Amino acid sequence: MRNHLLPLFRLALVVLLSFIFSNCEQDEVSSDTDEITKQHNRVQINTNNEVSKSAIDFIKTKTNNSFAVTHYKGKVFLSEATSNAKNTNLGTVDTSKEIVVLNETNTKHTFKVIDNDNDSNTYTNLIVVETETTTYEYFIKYTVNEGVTIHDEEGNLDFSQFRGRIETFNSEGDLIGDVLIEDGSISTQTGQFAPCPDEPIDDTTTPNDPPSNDGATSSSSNSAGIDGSDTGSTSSPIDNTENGGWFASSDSDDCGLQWSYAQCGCGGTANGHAPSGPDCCQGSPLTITDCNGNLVTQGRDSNTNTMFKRDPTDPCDDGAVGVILDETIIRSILNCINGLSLSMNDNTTIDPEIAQQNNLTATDWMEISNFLDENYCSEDAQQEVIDNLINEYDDYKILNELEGKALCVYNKLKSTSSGFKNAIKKFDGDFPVAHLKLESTILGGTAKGLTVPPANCTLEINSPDYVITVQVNSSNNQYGHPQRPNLLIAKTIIHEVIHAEMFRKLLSLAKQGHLDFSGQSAEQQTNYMISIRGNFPGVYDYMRRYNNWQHQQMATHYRETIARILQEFSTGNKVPDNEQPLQLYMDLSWEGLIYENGTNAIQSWMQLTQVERDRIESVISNYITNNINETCTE
Amino acid sequence: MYRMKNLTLLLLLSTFFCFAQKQEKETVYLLFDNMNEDKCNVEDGSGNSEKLNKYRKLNDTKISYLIICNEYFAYDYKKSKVDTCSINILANLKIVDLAYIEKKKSENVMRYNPFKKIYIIEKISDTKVIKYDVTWIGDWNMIRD
Repeated sequence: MRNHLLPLFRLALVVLLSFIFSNCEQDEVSSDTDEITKQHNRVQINTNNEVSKSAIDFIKTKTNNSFAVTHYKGKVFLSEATSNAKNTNLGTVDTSKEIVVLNETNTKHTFKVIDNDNDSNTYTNLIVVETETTTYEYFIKYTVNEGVTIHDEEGNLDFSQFRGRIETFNSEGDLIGDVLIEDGSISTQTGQFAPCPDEPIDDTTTPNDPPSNDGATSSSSNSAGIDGSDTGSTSSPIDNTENGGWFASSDSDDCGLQWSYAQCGCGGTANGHAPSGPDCCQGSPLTITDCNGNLVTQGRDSNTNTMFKRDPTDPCDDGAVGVILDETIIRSILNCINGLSLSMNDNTTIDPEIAQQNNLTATDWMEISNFLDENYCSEDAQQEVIDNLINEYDDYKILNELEGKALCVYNKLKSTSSGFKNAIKKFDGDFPVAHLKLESTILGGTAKGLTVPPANCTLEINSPDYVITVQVNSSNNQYGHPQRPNLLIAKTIIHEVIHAEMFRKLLSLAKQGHLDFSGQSAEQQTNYMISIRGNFPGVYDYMRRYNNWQHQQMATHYRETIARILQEFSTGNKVPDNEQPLQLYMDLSWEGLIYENGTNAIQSWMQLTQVERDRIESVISNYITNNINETCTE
Repeated sequence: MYRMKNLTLLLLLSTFFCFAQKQEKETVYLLFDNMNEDKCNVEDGSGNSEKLNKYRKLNDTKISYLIICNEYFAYDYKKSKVDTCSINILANLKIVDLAYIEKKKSENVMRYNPFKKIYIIEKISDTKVIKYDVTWIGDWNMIRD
């Protein structure tokens, strides 16, 4: 039973693996890929410019160039934009890569949907199906219960141990198939695995039709099997889908089995009488013939073998489909580090984006995975992996041009027990700023720091597209890092990185690499705000209500986080989650957020009593006085 | 209740689209009077405030600022266009004040700079002015702390 599904998944598994490594080190898996190519030369893995233009054009047309995927009331569908506040933006179609499967009657293009929800156990694929006469799409959603197991010997994914759920949504977004799988075998299933493009409208009003299996097909009935299936086999229907399962298992699969619905006459009983009346679909007998036109099976009126349109092995499921569960090894690693942990003392976590944006090779990832396995995913092993990943991440994504004491403080921030960036993700669980540039610069006036998003302006200080620049003042005065206390330099870096994170959120919705909206129409700007409202309602709220909205939001929502990092930086000990940071650090976190005049006044500051405000200002001032010109040693 | 929700959504969207009416972007000019002795209360974010000149200049390593009270207008002395003109040009320019541009920005759905161009005019003699092509610093392009 355990292996029943395995052959059916073989194509998917192989495609998946070859894809995983195709961006990294193809040489590492060339033998696998060659084998796949021999066995399934109808499978193509395309990236970047190789991705099929016709499929991309289809998605563009369906989404009005937004590539958006929307989730609404249980439906999953392509949408033009998240203009409807009731809809949830599920994600975006990743058109940088596709798996193309050339079936006998169609071509299926599989794309991954980049989810917004960061659920590391759910993967959604968009399937664009091209036939001679039409193009349509559907979605398959894979939910993995316990991570994906890596095969001990092959170093590949072991789909025979797949535990999870596979759901299919048609182009209208309706859930049309739902399968639960345990250890590679189907435990329960309803519906079908792929939509039928020319599916006739069911005549559900016909009183004498056999009962519809819509949404109620069990795993032990209604198999559209090949050999002898008219006996009403009770084995898993997936087990014999040679003609139309999701994943063809050999080149002979598309041998040419034909199917049709017999002319039973809608309303008549499917009792095996000579065909007459109009062709029907739902509830009509299904006739399957082999390559030579011989009748393989024809349904009768018995519930055990009547072929229903919505049977999972319906020939409408015409051919294999590729699966992209991208970065699955990485996700397996993340599952070890971040979650699904049985330990109550699991303090080691890392943001998935840090892992995914490293420039590591497939070999590196395999080594990490093996290292964790060999050490039974111990806390020490996890911490070692985290440290290495963060260092790699820094080298790859953070352009660190800090100098002198600012660099020293930054490095100390990173080396605190949970790590600076690892801690900073707690701001909202959505760290990091993917492209962050840190530099020391002489700033005029009283500025301790500066954050510059890419704004496409002509100023030399402007950040390039997709880069957010944080500057730390290096002036040799009370505002520059050479004289400022280490703890307040740390505060400035944290403070500016929060600004960077806020800009990153805005950038993530801007559909461009910068935040210059001067060329956009009022309608475009309005749509952008609507998208902010839908995706970051907190940011939207502050933007609409306040000038100086970033400081308003930071003062209200991020001070405790700042204080926690400061206390950890200062003492070397993490503040327990169920404890508040010490008052000193809470007070120091106010620095840079104290504005009282006019429209810039910070509301949460103004709500404090004058006595409390005076006290906090005094604490900050005294701390600076007592720690001026403090040295920093790593 | 359902109808009420729909109505609420409709009203919200209507509010948006009121702002979304097509408008021509304007070019405005602000006067920068270096000799003016008016003062503004300027805070450093750390609890310190000072009465500073309403019109003042500031230099960072890479850019310069013309500051009017608490509004920063940046120009790049290498890249930005800075013209010396006859004072007579003032008669043909749309001179506005801070309140005007702030009000206009607050009316924008994004609180984004709604102007096509902002120039700052600095009088340097009885007959000459300097025209700076500036970038208005705000929440969308730079945060100074």
